[in-house]
Amino acid sequence: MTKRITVIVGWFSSLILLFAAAFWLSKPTFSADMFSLLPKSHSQIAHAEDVFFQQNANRIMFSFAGNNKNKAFDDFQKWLDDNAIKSTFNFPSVNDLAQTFSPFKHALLSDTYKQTLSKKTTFEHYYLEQLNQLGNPFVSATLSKDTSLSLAAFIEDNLKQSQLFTLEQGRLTRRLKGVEYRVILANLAPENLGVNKSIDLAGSIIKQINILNKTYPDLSITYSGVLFHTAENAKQAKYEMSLFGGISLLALIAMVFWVFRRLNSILLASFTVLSALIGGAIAMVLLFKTIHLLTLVFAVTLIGIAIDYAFHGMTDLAKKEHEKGYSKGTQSALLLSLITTTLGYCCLLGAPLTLLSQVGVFVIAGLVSAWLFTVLVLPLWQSTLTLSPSSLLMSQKLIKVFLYCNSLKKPILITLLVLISALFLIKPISFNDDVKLLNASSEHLMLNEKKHLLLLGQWNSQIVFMFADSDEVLLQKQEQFLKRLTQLNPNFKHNSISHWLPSLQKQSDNQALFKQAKNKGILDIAERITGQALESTKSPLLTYETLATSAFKPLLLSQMVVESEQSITWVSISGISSDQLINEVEKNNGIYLYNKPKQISALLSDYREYLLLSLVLAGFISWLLFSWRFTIRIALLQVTILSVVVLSMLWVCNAIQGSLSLFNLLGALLVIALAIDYLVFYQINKLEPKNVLAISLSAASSMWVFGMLSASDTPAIFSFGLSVMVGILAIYFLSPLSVLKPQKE
Amino acid sequence: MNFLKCFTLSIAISFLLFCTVVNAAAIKGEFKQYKQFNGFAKPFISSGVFSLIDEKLIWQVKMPVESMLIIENGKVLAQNANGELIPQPGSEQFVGLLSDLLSVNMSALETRFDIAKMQDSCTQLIPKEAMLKQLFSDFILCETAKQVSSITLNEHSGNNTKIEFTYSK
Repeated sequence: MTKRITVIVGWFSSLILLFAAAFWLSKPTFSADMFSLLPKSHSQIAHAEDVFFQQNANRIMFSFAGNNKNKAFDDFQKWLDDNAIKSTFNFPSVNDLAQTFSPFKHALLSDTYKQTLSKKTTFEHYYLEQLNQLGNPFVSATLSKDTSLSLAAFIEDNLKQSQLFTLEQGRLTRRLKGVEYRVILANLAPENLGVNKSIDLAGSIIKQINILNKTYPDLSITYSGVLFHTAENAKQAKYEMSLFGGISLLALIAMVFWVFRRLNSILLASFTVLSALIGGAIAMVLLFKTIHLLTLVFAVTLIGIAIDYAFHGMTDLAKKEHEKGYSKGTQSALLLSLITTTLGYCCLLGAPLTLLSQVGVFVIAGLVSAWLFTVLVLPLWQSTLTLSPSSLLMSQKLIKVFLYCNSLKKPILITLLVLISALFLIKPISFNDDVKLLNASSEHLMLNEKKHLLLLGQWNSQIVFMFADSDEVLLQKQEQFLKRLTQLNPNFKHNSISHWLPSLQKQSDNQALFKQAKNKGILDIAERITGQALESTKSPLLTYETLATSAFKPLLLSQMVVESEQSITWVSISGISSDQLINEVEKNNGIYLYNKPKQISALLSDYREYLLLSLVLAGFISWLLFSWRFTIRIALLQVTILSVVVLSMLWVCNAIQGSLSLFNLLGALLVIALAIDYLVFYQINKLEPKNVLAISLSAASSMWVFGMLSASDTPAIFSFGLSVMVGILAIYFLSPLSVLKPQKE
Repeated sequence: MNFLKCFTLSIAISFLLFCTVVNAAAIKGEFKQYKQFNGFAKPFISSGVFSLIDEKLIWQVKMPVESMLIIENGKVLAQNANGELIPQPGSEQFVGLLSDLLSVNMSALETRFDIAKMQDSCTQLIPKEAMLKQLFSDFILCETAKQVSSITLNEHSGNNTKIEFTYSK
């Protein structure tokens, strides 16, 4: 007894020590941000995304509507200040802009201003109209610097195109469809976006919003930002992890106790699972710097697979066919089982989604650890293990059913094949690779996001990234691209840096146009009224470097960046159809449409095809393995059963979900891994009570674990759980049909 | 920024409306605007007519260029180059201000301006709103015989605009 306990204590001490060392070495962080799971599909786009949109993850936005919006806005602003959350909306003042752009005045001409230069009378009318206005801040701020009013027009026209918001009594305001919204934009410190902090912060913000809603009637407050999605997803993942893990563990304990009727059997099964979990955790911590909470949700499945080893081991040991240790058949079946399941999960290691490779590493390492525990530690407890008579009686009854079915295997399999073919003809399967499958955010949060994107003018706009070797080439490329879009739709709208920073080429053209107008006398009125001569010296041209050292720097860098090897900018475009835009983008080198959801969906689609191929490959490998281990005839029968199981599982899932996804195929991969276990154990240990009992226990435990996942709110986890549940049910009843007397042992 | 232009014009027009309410009759008149730009020797002068009939106010600049602005049913409309009246985006918010001024709602005005009485029947209004504060230092409003005789808009830049009103009988 002392020896057994010493071995267990030694085993777990070593595992815990290894885990602590691995944790100390790599110091991993935990994340619940769904977008961190997504692959970097295109290195240039991914880089541009990092440069320009990284900050978006830290942004939160609030909008207030209704009669009491001002009071609620002020209260909430104060609350944010008290909690050190700084609101951010900075735009340079008109005076700052005048200061920044005045040295380059005649090189920077707005389109409106250029149109007035066409005729003397037109310009005169425009000029007098501008001066006549009571309080034109642009004229006021620039007239002393530029009497031609070109600078005033440049600043006014650009601000008109860039600014959606106004400031009213110090409150950022946006009007949309007749409704007035007060808006707060704030940036959070990155440390607030950790799992626990995001749950706490989002909770306190929502609590404060609820207080305001109660205090002020006729008020509508909308909130959005990654923080709220992270908090919601993290809470959901934590809840599901503890609920599914807890219920499946309780169910497993009850089943084990019913079969073995000893407390130590429960402990041994638990220890096997614990070994698997610690083993998996060691590998995951060593290999990944950031571990996603969703990985841990998927990793719950390890409990179901690892405990199979304990069931097979304990039933075999309890049968006491050998005085010491396992029967040869079980030993060989356990090893074969480990190899096949590991091969199945190896398919996930190369997955472009980090989540899948994390799950692959966790399960493989966990299974190796569970297998080692089963092979090395469990046999020491052989003398304490017995099987309950009631469980043996149940397995005898099951054997009778299985034997009867086995005698009818040909008609059963032929009927099933015909039935499945007919079902596939009646309702063929279809695939859905929508990125929304990964999202567990509530509809309420998604609606909030939509509303705020509308307020920000980003809902119907499309984003294009542009790359070039230098800033001048980039700016010229941007101008030419926008010119082509204007030809397609003269009223299309865009938000780009080209408004504020024209290319040097365009600036030279502007200077030439201005000089020409001056020489023709079009601008005489300016000199006549102001009594000041227009400057005739050629002004310098505005460059990226100059603008990057001005008050305009933050706005410039938010839209254009010049690096040592390339220059990058992005443009937001609306009023052009997607097809037209794609067509124009494809005509150009270094211009890419940025549509992350579409790109990820395309990637999911690629990966699904890769998995489908993996499933066929797994079937073929199984056939080779079975042919080598048993006979070609037995292998053929086993692969037929495997195919029936997978096909029927896919059809049922397709019928329930309406379409299949990558996650159904992942489930299928797991079903194949488990099915191979059952087929191997049936072929080696036949329809013996201990074998049927172990497989029944294994199937029931897997059903509990995966059945739980099908209750998840995340579509991806639901699909995975449903697939494995249906697949296990099918393989449990069909695998006994594979038992044939082998021609060679 | 369109709203800023509308806003400043609205200030002037609002006081005229105020006079109308006080007098409870339709009014017509002429205005002359002197815009003094900092550093320029002479002011830029423009002139025109205004009328207020059945709560429709027309502000028409005649010289040196023609332009028209109409405030009606809570909307501010400006005439474009083609002679069409185009609603001014962002101007809706001034309707509230107009009614405050019309009803001489000093408590409401005090939320937007610091008000100080001056000599010679004049009042100084110092804007509180950030957008207005950015451009204007203060407004000086003068009355003669219960009618607004002039408004001066002083800008931080040193520019100022004085509008003088004469009323038709």
